Amino acid sequence: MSAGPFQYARKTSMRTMFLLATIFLYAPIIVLIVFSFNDSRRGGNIVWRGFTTDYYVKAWNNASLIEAFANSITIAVISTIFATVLGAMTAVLLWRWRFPAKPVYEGLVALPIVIPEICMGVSLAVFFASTGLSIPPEAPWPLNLGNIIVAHITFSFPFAAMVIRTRLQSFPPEMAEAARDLGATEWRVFWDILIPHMVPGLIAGALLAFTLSLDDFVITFFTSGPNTVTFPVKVYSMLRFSVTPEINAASTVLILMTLVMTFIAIRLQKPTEMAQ
Amino acid sequence: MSEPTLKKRALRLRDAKPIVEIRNVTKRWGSFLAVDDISLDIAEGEFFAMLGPSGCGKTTLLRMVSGFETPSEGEVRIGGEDMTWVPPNKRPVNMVFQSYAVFPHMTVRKNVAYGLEVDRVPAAEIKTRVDEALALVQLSQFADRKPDQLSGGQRQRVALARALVKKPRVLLLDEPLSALDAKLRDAMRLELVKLQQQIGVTFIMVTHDQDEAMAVADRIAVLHKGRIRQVASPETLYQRPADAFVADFIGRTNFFEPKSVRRAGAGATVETAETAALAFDRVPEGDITLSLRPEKVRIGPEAKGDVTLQARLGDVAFQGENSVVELHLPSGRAILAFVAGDAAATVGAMEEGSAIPVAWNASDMLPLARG
Ligand SMILES: Nc1ncnc2c1ncn2[C@@H]1O[C@H](COP(=O)(O)OP(=O)(O)OP(=O)(O)O)[C@@H](O)[C@H]1O
Ligand SMILES: [Mg+2]
Repeated sequence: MSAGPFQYARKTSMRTMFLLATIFLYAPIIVLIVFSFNDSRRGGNIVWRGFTTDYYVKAWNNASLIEAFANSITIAVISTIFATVLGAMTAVLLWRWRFPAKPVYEGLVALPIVIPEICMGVSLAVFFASTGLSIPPEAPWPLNLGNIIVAHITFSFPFAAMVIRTRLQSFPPEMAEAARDLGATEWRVFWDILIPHMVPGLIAGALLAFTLSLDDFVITFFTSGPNTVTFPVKVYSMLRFSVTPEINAASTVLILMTLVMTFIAIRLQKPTEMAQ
Repeated sequence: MSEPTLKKRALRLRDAKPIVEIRNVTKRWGSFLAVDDISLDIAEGEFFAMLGPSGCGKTTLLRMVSGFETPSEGEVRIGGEDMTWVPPNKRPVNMVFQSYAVFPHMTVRKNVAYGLEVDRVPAAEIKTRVDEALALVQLSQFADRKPDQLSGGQRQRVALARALVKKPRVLLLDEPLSALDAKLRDAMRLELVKLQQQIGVTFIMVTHDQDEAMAVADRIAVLHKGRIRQVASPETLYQRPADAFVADFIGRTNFFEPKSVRRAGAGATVETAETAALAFDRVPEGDITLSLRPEKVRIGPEAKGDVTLQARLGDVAFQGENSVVELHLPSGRAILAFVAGDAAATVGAMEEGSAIPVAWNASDMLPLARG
């Protein structure tokens, strides 16, 4: 029997490829999670010495790690809100209106996606230093995170805008016309019809902005000070001394959080299917 | 509806004052004329259809009545008022879209209530009016469903209820049945007619399906390339088409190109390859052709008429009570004939290519301007 067009999944070579891809993707993460429970003092990612949850307790009691974690979450939440709103506004603007030099503007919005992060980091650091539009590090928390938040909004809102714009592309124009026909003003059409249609895009865009912010290292490194350490920066500094299972434990918690959030986002996107 | 009530309805509509007046309306897209100097009066309470092939400008014309397009020239009056520049949300008309455009994130009830909510109608009144509208389209038990839990036909009823609940003076329908399957389409046609008679609101429907237009409309405007070819009742369109385009578009017909036309006053003597000189009292100006409906062609040994010929039998397509028979005339022209009953059985039993007598009456041939 010859393989039909959709039967390639049966071929051994394809199966092997699939298996290898899965291993490459997930093996490191699984190792990380498994060794977070390893009962060994140092270099804990090599030899298994028995099960323990000590390192979760240790991570929990590590005040500076927890502080970095709290900073990261705060930055991510605030920058996500701004990035999503800004991204949605940009997306609607680009989708709905024609104006002179629109392609130029479109390119400018998308540029931060392709500019190397290291350059973004340097440029933002220079920007804050040279213009003085910078919040002093001794400002009270969470104001002292302002620079990082601004930096995160800058690099994450184009991503949100792209995702939301893709969603807008599938908006049927008759929907808006039907609402107009029923007596709605342009403004009501926007709120009652367009925004609900955008919701999945808004959620996806927000989720993307959130994860981008949460795990950003390079740009944050350039814009953070000694009092404003984020989780990735903290992990990096801890790594310089040794790889302890404590880092594994903290990372596992982070992975779990992202998974839960993704799950919630997917549920929110399909309310009707879930209701059945 | 019986014959006399149909007549009465036609007379009443003729005397009704126009609700929609389209005055010399032209719409250009760049240099392309989508609608070319159209004038139309649509009577209050009428079921009016705009019929024409794809791209003839039907939708564009309808959208100028709904307010989604503005004419390049001319005027649209609704209920006696100039509405040419009034936006869609301020016009006393509502539209049923081809794709229905039911709001997917709202329940059926919410969809129907939406038009009243934006008008700030009191909640108690919204409830009664929505209930009424849902009952009208038999959707009461689906009120709390979301559109993705409805069939295509049900979704269309939501679109209907949503438009009708606003008590529009005119309901506009753009190819409302084209997204339904054939059987449902036939059923919905009847329902549309019943609904229109029940509520008495003027319906303007756009369609490219002549059967559909003929089945539902009091009057039909046949459009071609942005111009009106004829506005008439379905019977008139069929029996007295204004030109060859209308004759061809409404139902099926056979055309006979004349060999010679000798005019005398309004009339003329026309000769074709199949017929000797035939005299007609009224013949339109310019290039003409003769149209003969397939059901006027008689076939078989007993066939009688002014014109008799020996033809050869071509394809026979069986279609329910009628068979469509292709006949090759000695002149080389192929024509169609509809035969029913016993004759259909006889023809069905014959070999393709066998000789068969054909006859028709010269008075059934209509001289028409070539479209
Ligand atoms: N927004 C537009 N811009 C340019 N040309 C248009 C536009 N809308 C319609 N046209 C053109 O105008 C002509 C008439 O279009 P219209 O949609 O009215 O046709 P229609 O009769 O409804 O056809 P169909 O049966 O295919 O829906 C078409 O040739 C179409 O290409
Ligand atoms: Mg159309």
